[in-house]
Amino acid sequence: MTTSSRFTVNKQAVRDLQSQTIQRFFKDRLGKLKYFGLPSDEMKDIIDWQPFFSRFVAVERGVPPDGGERQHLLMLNAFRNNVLSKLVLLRGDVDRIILDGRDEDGNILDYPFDVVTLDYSGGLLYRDTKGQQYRLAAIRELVCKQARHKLGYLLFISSNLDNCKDAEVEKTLQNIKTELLRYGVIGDEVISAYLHHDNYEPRLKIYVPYFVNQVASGVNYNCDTEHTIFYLGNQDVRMMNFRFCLTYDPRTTAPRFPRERLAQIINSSMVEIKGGKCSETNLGLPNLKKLMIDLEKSKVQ
Amino acid sequence: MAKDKYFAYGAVLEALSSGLYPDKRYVIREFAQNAFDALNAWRKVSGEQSLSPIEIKIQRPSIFIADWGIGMDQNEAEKFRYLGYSTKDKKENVGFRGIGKDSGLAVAEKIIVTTSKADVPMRYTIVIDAQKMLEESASGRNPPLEELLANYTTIKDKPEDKAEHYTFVELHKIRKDAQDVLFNIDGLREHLRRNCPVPLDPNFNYADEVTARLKTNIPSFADVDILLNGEKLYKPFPPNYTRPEYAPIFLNEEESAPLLAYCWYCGNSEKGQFADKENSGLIYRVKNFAIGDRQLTRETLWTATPERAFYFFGEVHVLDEAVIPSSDRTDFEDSEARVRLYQRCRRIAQILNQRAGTESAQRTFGEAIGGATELINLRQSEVTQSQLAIEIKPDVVYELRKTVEDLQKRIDRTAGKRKPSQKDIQLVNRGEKVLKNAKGLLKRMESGKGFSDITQQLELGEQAKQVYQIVIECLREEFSSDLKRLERVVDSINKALSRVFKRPSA
Repeated sequence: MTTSSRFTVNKQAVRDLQSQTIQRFFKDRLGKLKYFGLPSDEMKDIIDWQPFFSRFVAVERGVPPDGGERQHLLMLNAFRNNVLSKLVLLRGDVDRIILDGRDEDGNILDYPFDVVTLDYSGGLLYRDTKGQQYRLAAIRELVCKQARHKLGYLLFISSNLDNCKDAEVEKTLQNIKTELLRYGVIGDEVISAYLHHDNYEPRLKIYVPYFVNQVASGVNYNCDTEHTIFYLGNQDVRMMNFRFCLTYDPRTTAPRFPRERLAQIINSSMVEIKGGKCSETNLGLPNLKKLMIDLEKSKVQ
Repeated sequence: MAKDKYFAYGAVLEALSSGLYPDKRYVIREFAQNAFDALNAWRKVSGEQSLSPIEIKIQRPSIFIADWGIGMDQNEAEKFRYLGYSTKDKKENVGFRGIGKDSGLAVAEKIIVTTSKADVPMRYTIVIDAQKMLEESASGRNPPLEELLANYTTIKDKPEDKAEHYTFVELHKIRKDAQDVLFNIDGLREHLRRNCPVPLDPNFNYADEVTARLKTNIPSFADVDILLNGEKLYKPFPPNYTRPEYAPIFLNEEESAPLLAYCWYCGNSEKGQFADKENSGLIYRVKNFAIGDRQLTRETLWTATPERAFYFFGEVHVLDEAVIPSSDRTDFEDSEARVRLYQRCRRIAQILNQRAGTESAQRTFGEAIGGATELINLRQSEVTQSQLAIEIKPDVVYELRKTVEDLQKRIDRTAGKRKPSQKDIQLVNRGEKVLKNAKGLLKRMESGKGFSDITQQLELGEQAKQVYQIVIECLREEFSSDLKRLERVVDSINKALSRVFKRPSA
């Protein structure tokens, strides 16, 4: 199997899981949904999900010397797959578009969306020349803009592990440890296991959902995180995929989210996709709940 | 001296692109025309019955025009870059000059076309860098066309499913001076509805009937769905129309002569011209694409009473292949064939004028009957209650007599027609009934019955009577053209006199 075809089957499995999430979350509104995202080169997600959506707002940056040929190709694919009339193409960098509220040609990013799929080819913690993590800033902006409409939606994020060695990740995990302590839970061992794991996936498994949950709870949203997915992508690049189900709840006003949700994020197993097949794994990491039980036991003894 | 090797230079680009199309929306129509030809060509090859839709997508900064037509192979894609090159047959295609595509140079920075032909497992992407070509040709150097085409057009190929056949055009980055027009979706929608071979609106009650007639009488007739940003477009129509009628126009008076044009039209079910001015009148069409607008038929077919051109709406489908549309499709090329077409089609104007005249006469006849009925009812009631003053008797009698004469004239004229229509007969029958009543009432009024004499009622003296009559005479002169007002004034005077001079009852 070539890396490309391996990528295709793995990516298809991710799409299938996302598809299940969409159908579960929007079971009464399928066919009327609005999509915003970065479709894959061949628009597989858009084509697969066509029956669910009445409108697709897709971003294609294009590569400067090609003079719009990539965007032309995207529109051609839309035509060939009978979604041209449903598709709105925004040109430019997706993060810039979210932050500016419009694309480089002045087309407005017309909120709200039901499904947002940010299928980054790079890392999520990418910093610009000014040292700003503007990809995360864009996600924060998107969550805030979506919140103005008080509607539930799904946020899917895919990224590779580039830039994941960012000190920001370690700092955040340390903060989580302090936060757990504030809740009366000693999470040192668990967090330490994550920080010292050979792979970076476990750290992002906590960092990204923690970030999204924090932003969401600040704008009255509950955020359920589905099992984080990791797989080998194109050219055997290690990829991760996150699925968040966000529901508006005016009672959710806490700057920090509840202990239960933090425990859910940490203890949730991951899904590994190999050769298109999914399997659950915790990558040998300790479980916070188990730890809590152990603590309870030690107290009793 | 080196320039002498060439026969065409870059400056011609400007003339071929912006010079030909003063209205920038024509550019989109040109590409829709190419798509229509490609679809027809595919239908011919595949034997499919109907044409797939043409999709037009406006998405800043570009406009896309896409079709599932026959597509182009490598050779055709290469030639697509040439200026004024076309192998299309005039008889089979709407466009044949090979310059329509070049109109894109006037509105977009680039023309990007991806195309694939059935049975060819490749697709070809042609990029014409209009911006750079025009910039260079406008520079003092004015390079030869060949050089510009070689430097600023490219073709790339990629594998494609062999079964695929399509052409996907992007007018990439619409120029600033064309954006107001081309990104105005309402304006573009109207332009395409009026000019392209889209179906008749299903809300037009006779859409199916007219389409069936056109298919029967015009062998090559076809319409195509055009989706503009997903919205299906239909030809517009005005409200309040009559059932359509049809007029084949032959080469000569013989019905066995070749058909030059086929016309259908609907009249206005209300009075005169259609209130919806934009959608009234007749439109010439060649292969179902509009040529010119409603003014063109008015100017070329109506030699007299031109206002009657807008009593109707419809289409004149031109079938004479010798009649060639001009490049901008605002008229036909000047030729003997065009002269012949206009001459023969004037028959349409004659038919329509005649029809408009008949309808106008019927309408005014109906109005006359209505007016007479109203007058009779009024006078009948006034006479019964003796409400009319004797002083105005000559005037009301004259009024009724004129009404009787007018009705009689209309009845005689309509009944005397060689072939009166059903509506004529109905009008005559109604008119005769009203006339009979009018004559009876006239007789009664002429005898003086039903009028009241205020001078007698008030037992006025001779001198007072004379004064009263002088006043009434003066008023009659003053209001000779306004009987109603005279009636009101006299009535008002009589009431005032009654109030002041009426003797107390015994």
